[in-house]
Order: sequence, then C-alpha cells, then structure tokens
Amino acid sequence: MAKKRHFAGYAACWVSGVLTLLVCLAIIIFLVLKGAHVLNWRFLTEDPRPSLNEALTGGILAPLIGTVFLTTLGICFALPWALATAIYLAEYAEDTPWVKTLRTGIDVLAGVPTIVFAIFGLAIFTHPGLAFFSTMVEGVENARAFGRSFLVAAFTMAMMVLPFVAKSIEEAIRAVPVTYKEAAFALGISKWRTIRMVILPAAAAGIITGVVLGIGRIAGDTAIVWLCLGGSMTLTGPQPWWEPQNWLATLQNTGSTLTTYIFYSSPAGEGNSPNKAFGAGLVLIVIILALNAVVDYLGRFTRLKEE
Amino acid sequence: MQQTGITGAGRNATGIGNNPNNSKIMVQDISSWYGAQPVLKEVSMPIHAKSITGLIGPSGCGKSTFLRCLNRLNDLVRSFRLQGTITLDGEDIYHPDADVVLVRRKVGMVFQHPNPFPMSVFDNVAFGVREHNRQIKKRELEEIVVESLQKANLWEEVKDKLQASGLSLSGGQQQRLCIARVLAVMPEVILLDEPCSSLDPVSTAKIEELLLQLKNSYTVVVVTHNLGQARRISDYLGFFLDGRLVEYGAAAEVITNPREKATEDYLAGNFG
Ligand SMILES: Nc1ncnc2c1ncn2[C@@H]1O[C@H](COP(=O)(O)OP(=O)(O)OP(=O)(O)O)[C@@H](O)[C@H]1O
Ligand SMILES: [Mg+2]
Repeated sequence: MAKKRHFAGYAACWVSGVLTLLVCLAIIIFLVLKGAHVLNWRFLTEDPRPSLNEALTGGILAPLIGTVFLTTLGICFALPWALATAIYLAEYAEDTPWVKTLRTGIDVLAGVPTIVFAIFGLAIFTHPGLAFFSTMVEGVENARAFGRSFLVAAFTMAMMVLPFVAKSIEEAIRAVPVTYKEAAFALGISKWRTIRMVILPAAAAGIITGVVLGIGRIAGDTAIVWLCLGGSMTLTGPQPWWEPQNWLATLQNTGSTLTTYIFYSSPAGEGNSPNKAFGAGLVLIVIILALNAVVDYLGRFTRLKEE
Repeated sequence: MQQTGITGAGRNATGIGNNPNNSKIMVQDISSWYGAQPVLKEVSMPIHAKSITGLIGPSGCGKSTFLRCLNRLNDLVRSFRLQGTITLDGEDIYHPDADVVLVRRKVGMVFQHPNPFPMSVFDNVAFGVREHNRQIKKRELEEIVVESLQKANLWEEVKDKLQASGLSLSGGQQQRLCIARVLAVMPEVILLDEPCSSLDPVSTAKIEELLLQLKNSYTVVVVTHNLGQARRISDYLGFFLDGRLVEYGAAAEVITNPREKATEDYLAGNFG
C-alpha cells in the first residue's frame, strides 16, 4: 500500500514535469513553425508599413529599436533606485515599523498588475507640470500626445520592475559572506567604503542577474507599452533618430516595441499580418531566452568562483 | 604617525590614562551579553605593549567575544551589549564620541578562518592602504605590499603570482596573506583569533616565528587552543573559563605555577 502511494506520487511528479516541458517546447516549436519562414535580413531591417497585403507590410526594425530603447532606458531608471533600496534594506535598515512598511510596500508593488502601473503612469505624465517628458502631437491643438513617450513608458517600467530588481539585489548583497565585511571593518574601513569596494563587487554577479531579470520583464511587457508608448508602429520623433540632436526628441516621442507590434499586426489587434506577428514573437522569445542564458551562466560562474 | 586621539579630545578624564605598567590596552571590569545570554563576566586585564598576550580556555568560554571587544567588531552583532570600559592608550574606545573606524585602524585583526577578499594577492594587501591614502603613489604602494608580504613570510611563495586570486592560495598561505593585509595598514595592536587552527605544523611554525618577530614593533593578542603554542610564544597568558578571566599573569608563571585549580586542570589537559 505504502509502496503504491509512493509510486502514484512519483508518477504525478513525473507527468507534471513532462507536461511543463511539453508546454514550453510547444510554444517554441509553434513559433518556429509559424514564424521562422518570415525571418530574414529584410524582416529585421525594414520598418513596418501599413498595408492590406501582408507581403507589403515590411519588417520589425522600429519595434526592435523600440524594445532596445525602452529596456535600456527603463533599466537605467530602475537600477540606481533599486540599488539604493537594496543597499538600504540589506545593510542599514533595522527592524522598525517604517522598514516593515517599506517591505510590505515592495511586496505589494510586486503584485500590482502592469496595466495598473500603465494607467497610473499615464495619469501622472499627462499632468502639465510633467509636459517635458512627452512632446505634442502635431495637428492636435494645445493637446499633448496623451502623455505618451519612450521616457514616460520607461519611467513607468522602472516603477514596475523596481520590486523585482531591488529584491534580487538585496538577496545578492545578503549572500556575500559576512567574513568579507568583518575583514574590511577590521582594517579600519568605513561601512560605506566597505559596501562600495568589497560587498558590491562581491555581489556583482547577483546584481547583474537582477538587472537582466528586470530587462526581461520590460521587454516582455505589453500593457505599459500600449498605454504609455502608444499605437504608432514607427518612431514618431524627428528622423534620422541616430543623429545626436534628435536623441532627446526621439525619446520624448513615441514608437512601438515587439510586444505591441505583435498585438497590432495580429488579427486580435487591428492587423492582418499574423505571420509577421509570429516572426516578431519568435525574435522576442529568442531575446528573452538569451537573457535567461546569461543569468544562468552568471549563476554558474559565481558558484564556481566560490568553490 | 596618525596619533590623533580616537575621541578627538586627546586623553580623557577617566583617570585611567596613566596606567602603571605600560599597558597599551586596559580592560576594566567588562561584562557582555548576546541578547539575554551573558558571555563575559567582570573581566579586567591589561594588555602590555610590544609583547604577546595569549588567551586560552575551553571552547565557548568567550575568548573570541573578548577579542572582538578590543576592536569593537562585536558592534556588528545587533544583540550585543557591553558594560565596563576598554581603553586604548588611555582613551575609552566605547566612548560615545570615539571614532570606531579609527579604533579598528589601530587595532587590526586576523580571523580564525582565513578570509582573503575575492581579489588578487596584490589587491588584498593593497586594498586597506589605498583606502586609507587614496592619493598614494603606485611605487610607494608597491613597496608597502612587497614589504608586508615579506614580513608575513609569504613573499617568496607569491612573488610570481601577485595577480592570482587570493582565494587560489593554500589555507596557510591565505592566513599569511591576511596577516600581510593587516601589517600593510600599520596598526598598533594585532588581534589573532586562533590563527593556526586550520593550518598544518609547518605553516603553524612559520606563523609562530612571525608573531615573535612582530612583537618587537606591535602589541599582539592571540587566542589559541594549542597549549604548546601558548607556551612557546606568549609573554602573558590569560585563562578564561565560562566568561570569567580565571587567571592572568606572566606566561611562565601561569604555566609552571598556576594559582587556580581550574587552570592547573586545564593545563593538564583535564578538560576542554
Ligand atoms: N554572534 C553571536 N550571537 C549570539 N551568541 C554568540 C555569538 N557569538 C558567540 N556567541 C556565544 O557566546 C559564547 C562565547 O562564544 P565565543 O565565540 O566567544 O567562544 P570562544 O571561547 O571563542 O570559543 P571557541 O574556542 O570555540 O572559539 C558562546 O556561548 C556562543 O554561543
Ligand atoms: Mg573563538
């Protein structure tokens, strides 16, 4: 009897393990089957064009650039904030009601759906006082582009990933052996310099892991892009965007990312180029898998180093 | 050098500034607790300049706790509490105005388990020096590093791999690296907590020899479980039992002619 139950549990674990793997494989195989045939150099280097004929709808250059802009900018806003929060929580915070409140706040933030961040971001950045972050849409008199831009979306993304990045950095800091800290203190080095010169470098791999985690979340989010960056397929800033005098304006304007491209080009959105949507999905998955591989590699690398 | 007072006020008025027998550190009637658990109980002891003070006693009796009081490293433990005074050159190191960082600069420490930083051999030694003097010239820094490694009897073994990770050295080499790291910042007192406990006899002998050299210029306090070692290197010896300093005196005296029965039993190997 006991043996039988043991076998049932074993089988259940095994079956659910296999199922999980199958779901993962199914998604990837499905995307490859549906999307791989549209992948080519032109798909990656042409901007999307509106057309009723799928063959004429162009590529995903602008969404790809948009994804890179948004993740880079978002993580640049989130990192200093998360780092400071994590250092405070790991090294300075004591068990006070204020710290408990802060921790609860971070947990709550981690559970807020991104669409809620999105309307929050939209609500804040349409305020006239924050007009700097987004430019006016031409032809719409005295109206803003509904407070949408790369900057607005990136700030909102930073709020969204803050709890995840801060928590994983805090964990990384806590994992640094206390003996390093003792050694530095015993040399007469101040607490701040110890953190700066010994603890943070020792936690570097964990910090990078947190950053990559944040990048993955930003790259994969749709709701915030949809509300805070808007529905234009291409970059709406002055062109060419790569010229330095246009950089700021580019970020104050809108564009798209791979996630919104997928939405808008699939029949679920308003598009009629499902194959391109699958192609873009495949590109996005490859990017995110690559990021995961980086995290995995860093984890293994630090474990090796510690041994 | 760096003789500014740790409290910023020169010698304070506790009246213990001019201690009689040239002690570097005076420990006066300290008791300590981790939370509600008492560890040290009314311990008083002088620590004489330019000599080796050995501390012995069974496991758990509070030797490490005592040692970590001397450079305020116990401040890292939130539940730690201390009563009594400890003075360094006549100044109260637990005084509210005392500069902890400066205290620790003057009182260096080597730990029971070697704990080099995850940096190169060179940087391990250079780190503290650089931190204390950010404008230091490269040449000067290199001189200090080489000199410290030589003093720690490690130079010959690492001179060809200064850029290798400190963690790649053997345990004994790591411990001497930790000693070199302390010597490089030129403290006045060096605390060593069972520095040889994870080392083989050859490395142990090297470290003992090193400590004997060091006492010419530093005040050394060393915790040890090895009675032979205590005998070989100590000038003064303190025996702890259950948080109390049961016996203290000149090492030869304590070893050949202990006043307390407990010391005699311990030295005879009857417990611990
Ligand atoms: N960080 C700490 N928090 C709570 N209790 C502690 C802490 N460090 C030490 N203690 C307790 O204080 C007592 C004395 O410990 P201590 O490390 O000073 O002993 P020791 O004489 O150095 O022993 P050993 O010879 O084994 O190193 C022990 O009962 C120990 O459990
Ligand atoms: Mg100990």
